Amino acid sequence: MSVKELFPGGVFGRLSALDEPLPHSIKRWWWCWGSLPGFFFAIQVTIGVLLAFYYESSPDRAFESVRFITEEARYGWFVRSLHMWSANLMVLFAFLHAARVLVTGGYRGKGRWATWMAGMAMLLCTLLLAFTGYTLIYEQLSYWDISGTTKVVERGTAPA
Amino acid sequence: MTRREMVASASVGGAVLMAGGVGAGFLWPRRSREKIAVYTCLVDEVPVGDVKEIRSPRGERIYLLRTEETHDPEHILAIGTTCTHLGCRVFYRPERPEETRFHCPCHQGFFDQLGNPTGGPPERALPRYEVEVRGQLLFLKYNQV
Repeated sequence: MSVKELFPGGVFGRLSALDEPLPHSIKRWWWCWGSLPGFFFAIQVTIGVLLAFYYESSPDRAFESVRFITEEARYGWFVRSLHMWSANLMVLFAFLHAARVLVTGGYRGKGRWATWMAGMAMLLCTLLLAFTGYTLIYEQLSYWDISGTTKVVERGTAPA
Repeated sequence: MTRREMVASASVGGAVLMAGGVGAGFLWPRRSREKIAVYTCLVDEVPVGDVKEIRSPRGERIYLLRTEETHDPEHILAIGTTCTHLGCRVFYRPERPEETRFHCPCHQGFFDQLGNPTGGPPERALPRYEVEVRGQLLFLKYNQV
């Protein structure tokens, strides 16, 4: 079965690059967890560009600009919520996908270790992106987030 | 075009239109709107030398205080309680000198009686709300959302 057969007509039907037969395994719904972080990443980039029109990345203006986006810009609360939920779901599905690959032994086989390591690198990048996004708001939670993390990096242990 | 193709195209088209509308609306500059005056309390209920805590319609805590025993709006202050450093709550300390009347316990930030920063990490003044007096009644002005 191909993507075209799964989603006939519309956009999917016209993309010949997607017109490849799918292996039997991918017909299980939990096999799609791998592409979901990519989907959420695309949403993050798109919404991130929109938010960058209002966001100011200086310590004294960051919180005020986030407040402006949330309370005064039209649909700002909605756009910001989408950004937040998309970021959370991106991390969630990256972990679920890694767990799925681990449980089903998808890392075994010729050359699969490289795929696994690339996936781990992407998971690490995702976590770093989530961390930096958290700090941008410049509120109390961001402050303690940065304080805690820098202490962990400095000491190599969790803060007491 | 089959019925199935039409439904799929209409769904994708509708979603794209909605997303485009939200994106365009988000970026389109808003006209500044007039502030709304909201009745808050009687002027005489606002203490001199202390504060009365109220909530804005959006739930923000605001301190009301008078610098003199008068109905003159010049001497009635409505000051937000959120520290401009990292968003903690500031407290009114009547026992402290006027220069350090508002205290933020999180990082030892201080503000004077008018909400201007006088010590510690905060660099911006506490938010001030416009005050209007109609007879005995005190109104605060809020931005429309």
